[in-house]
Amino acid sequence: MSAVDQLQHDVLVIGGGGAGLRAAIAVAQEHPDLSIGIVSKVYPMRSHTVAAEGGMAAVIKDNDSAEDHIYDTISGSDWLADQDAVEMFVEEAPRELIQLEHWGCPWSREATGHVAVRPFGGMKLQRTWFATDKTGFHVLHSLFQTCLQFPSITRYDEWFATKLLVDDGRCQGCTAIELRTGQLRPIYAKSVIIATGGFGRIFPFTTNGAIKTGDGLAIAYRAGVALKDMEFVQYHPTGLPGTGILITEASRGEGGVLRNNKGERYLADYDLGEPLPLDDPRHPQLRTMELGPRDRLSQAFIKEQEKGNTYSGPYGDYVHLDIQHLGEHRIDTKLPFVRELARNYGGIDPVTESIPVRPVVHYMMGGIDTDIEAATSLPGLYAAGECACVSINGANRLGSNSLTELVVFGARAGRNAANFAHAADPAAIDRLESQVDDERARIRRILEQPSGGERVAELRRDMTTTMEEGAGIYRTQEGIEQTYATLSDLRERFGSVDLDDRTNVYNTDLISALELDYMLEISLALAASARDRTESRGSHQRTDHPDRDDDHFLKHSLAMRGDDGTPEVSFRDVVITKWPPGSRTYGSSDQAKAATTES
Amino acid sequence: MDGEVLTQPVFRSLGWTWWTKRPSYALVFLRETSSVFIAVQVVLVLVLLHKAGQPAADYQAYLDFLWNPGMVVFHVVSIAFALLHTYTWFNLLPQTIAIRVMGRRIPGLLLVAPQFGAWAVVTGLIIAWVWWVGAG
Amino acid sequence: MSTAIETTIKFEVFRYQPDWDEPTYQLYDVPYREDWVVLDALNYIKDTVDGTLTYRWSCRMGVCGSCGAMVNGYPKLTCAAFLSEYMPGPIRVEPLVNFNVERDLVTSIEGFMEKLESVQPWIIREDGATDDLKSEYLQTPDQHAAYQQFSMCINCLLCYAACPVSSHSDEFIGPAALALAQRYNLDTRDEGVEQRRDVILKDEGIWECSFVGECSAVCPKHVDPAGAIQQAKMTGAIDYYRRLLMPWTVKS
Repeated sequence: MSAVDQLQHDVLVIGGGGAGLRAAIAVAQEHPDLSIGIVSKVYPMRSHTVAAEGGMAAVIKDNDSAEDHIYDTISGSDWLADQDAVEMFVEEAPRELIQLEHWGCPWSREATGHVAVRPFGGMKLQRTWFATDKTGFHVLHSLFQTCLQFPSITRYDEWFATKLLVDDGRCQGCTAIELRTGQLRPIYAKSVIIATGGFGRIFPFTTNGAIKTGDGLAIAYRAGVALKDMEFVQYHPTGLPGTGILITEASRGEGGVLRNNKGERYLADYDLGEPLPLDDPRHPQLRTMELGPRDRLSQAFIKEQEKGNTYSGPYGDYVHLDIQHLGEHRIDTKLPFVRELARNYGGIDPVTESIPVRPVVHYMMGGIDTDIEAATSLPGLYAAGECACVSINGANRLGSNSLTELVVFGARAGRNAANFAHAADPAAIDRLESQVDDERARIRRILEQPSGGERVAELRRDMTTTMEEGAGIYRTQEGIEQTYATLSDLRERFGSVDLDDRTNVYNTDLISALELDYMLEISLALAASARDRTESRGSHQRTDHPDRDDDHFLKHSLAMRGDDGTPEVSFRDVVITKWPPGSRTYGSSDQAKAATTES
Repeated sequence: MDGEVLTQPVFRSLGWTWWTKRPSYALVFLRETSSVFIAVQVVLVLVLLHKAGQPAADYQAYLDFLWNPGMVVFHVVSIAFALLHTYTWFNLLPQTIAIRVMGRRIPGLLLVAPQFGAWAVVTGLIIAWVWWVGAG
Repeated sequence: MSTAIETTIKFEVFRYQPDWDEPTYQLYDVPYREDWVVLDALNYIKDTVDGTLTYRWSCRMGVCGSCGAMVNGYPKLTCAAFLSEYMPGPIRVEPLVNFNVERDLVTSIEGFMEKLESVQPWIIREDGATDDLKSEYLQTPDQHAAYQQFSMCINCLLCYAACPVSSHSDEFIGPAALALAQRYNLDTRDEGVEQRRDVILKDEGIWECSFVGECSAVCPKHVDPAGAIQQAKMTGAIDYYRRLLMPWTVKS
């Protein structure tokens, strides 16, 4: 292949969701001289940003303050967030959301024409911008349609990135399979941004779409970058049983309540404050009851389950989310998607019935270790969005911070990768070719190896089963070690994976196998991190170590891939600026505390 | 993984018989086909006007032609098509015009009903006029 | 657990690979579950019976737009087509019509992507370059409501598969892209009506639509692209006569 045919850009973005598109636009807008490539395994508008529902947090109203948003985020994170990063995040958020507004995002409005905000879990004030309950959909399509205007952006739609190309200590591109032809090709670049989203698909029951398999984490991890805080898995308290489809937190923000099989608002028993009557004008109260943080609500479900206070159905136990008292008009104007989903997939109309819900894996706080500039430890490699861990989310992300994270850190990654590309030499193609050949050989082995007897779907099922068993809402040393052992065994078995499909064009069987390989890789890192964090913090709850241990674990875990392919976990101090670790209180005790700190 | 790869998409379309594939398509096809009949009727009327200025025998011959059984069937089919076209077209108006009052789009019925009302009034007036002319 | 004989449902799935002379239909028996959708059945086939079956999917909640296919001849999101609606079967699954089929249920949507880009579906502002991002553009709920419906398009392309005009004209911009053009034209924040004018009003734009209306009937998100196009025709016609009769009212 001649040099002319080589695919080459200044900045290469892997992932076409919210963070990747925001990064690409940042480069295109601020550095029109740079050429940008976006590699995405699906057409960008299919990316899972599309499924985010409730909204996007940023301080815009006069009664709100950056200080409050910062405090909510840090206490929500159980003090594991880096405070310098949170401060920057909160400061930059409003500008980024206004930018989205100027790019056409159809935010819901107040009568005055200003954007409207709604309450959300763990937030002391109403600061969540929303576009009905399809916020992610509108954000993604606004970004995608906006990016179409930049001639400097070349899209590689339905290309699957398989490996980072690294030489001379810096990242210089990736290899990717073009699904339409099955060809594996190198795409060279001066700097690379990974924005491939989360990896909820390592669990059996998740709100995440099929594409969320953590490919970007795995390729960064294999390139020697650490995965940070992998043990923190967010269960969203309200998913539909069976499908795992998300019923947005906005349903509680608008006043929806959770009830057990006795009809009780059981959250009152879990230190989340006192329930107000539904007709009380102060309902729903912020940072109280149903507007507590997601980790606490999900944990409360398990406790209710143990007490026998949950309903049981064909897809496991559940409780009721009741929004009937909001009335049809409010549901249709504020929560139309909730009604659509509950009707289509739950078979019930929330205007007249309660919605069955249970906790479901939703979001990964952990990810590729980046600093506040979205840079990784590998020069030329940046990461943003759910695949990255800065960390602003710590041990538990607050609802409506993740979409904001996409644009704040997407834009930062774009700007910094552009600056890096300006100063960098072109990729050393000659020296990288052997890596491309090796990668081609690796994939050909998977594609062509003679019958080994293992099916992708079976290995995947075994992986998700063991993840739920050992790394679910409550964890033990024994359980995690068992999961770790099972995962190691699954990696062995993956060596004998036997594809049904050995053709080139749209070989989704091969892609599934590669995704499985990546998921096994990062699942092991997750299990090792969960094993080594012998405390309970936020979403990571160890029944054998039930307390938070700031003396030993006010630290981020960092999993590095060892020479033998197994993860090695170390720890790094959390950045504390102004908010020393405190007790994480919600409900009435929180109100009392807030009153004393303000006085 | 490398080298030339065969990609050879096949195109599949609804084809020229698309209008037979769904009742909704067939209805649209009939709606559009109705214009042929209505056009022929317009020509027939124009010829009628022309014949009115010709010798009476010519005029009478043309009237006889219009009243022959085949033409009567054609007239009946034409009026059925005209009714279908009118009915379906009136019902499409709400999709074509989006008027918003007090923040809500005005209901389709409010756009459709006046058309049918006006249609009924005009038809009534014509029948009355024909009856009046016939009686006078 | 249950020992009762399992109910199954027959699937006839369109199969095609580029090195085949012509497509074929393959039969599969799939266990019937009341709460399964067609996509669940396809996943069942791929995971347990035949890993070569090829189709797109992701969110399985009707918002990513990947999984459209012809189900018994009608364009549907397979994630929203319940098996119970088709009992006792069989269920025939084919790729969306009016597109090139690359393999099995996978169609090429490159043509759509070009059409989408051609209507400039982004906010066009005269002050774009000098935007200081200090505050949001104001837009009342009424102004928002005027375009909101047309902003709900998930690009699933069922509308193109339902459109007889698209089946006979490669060039027709088509329902989804024209609805999105109308969406931006109606947005009070946008100043790009003039820039989009030529592409929307050209022969392959709105005037090629013969108002079959089936695009709106199959739209899973109730976008009503047929309505969008007719409204654009109305605006276009009024604009034409205004230019003709009152040219002094038209900005150069």
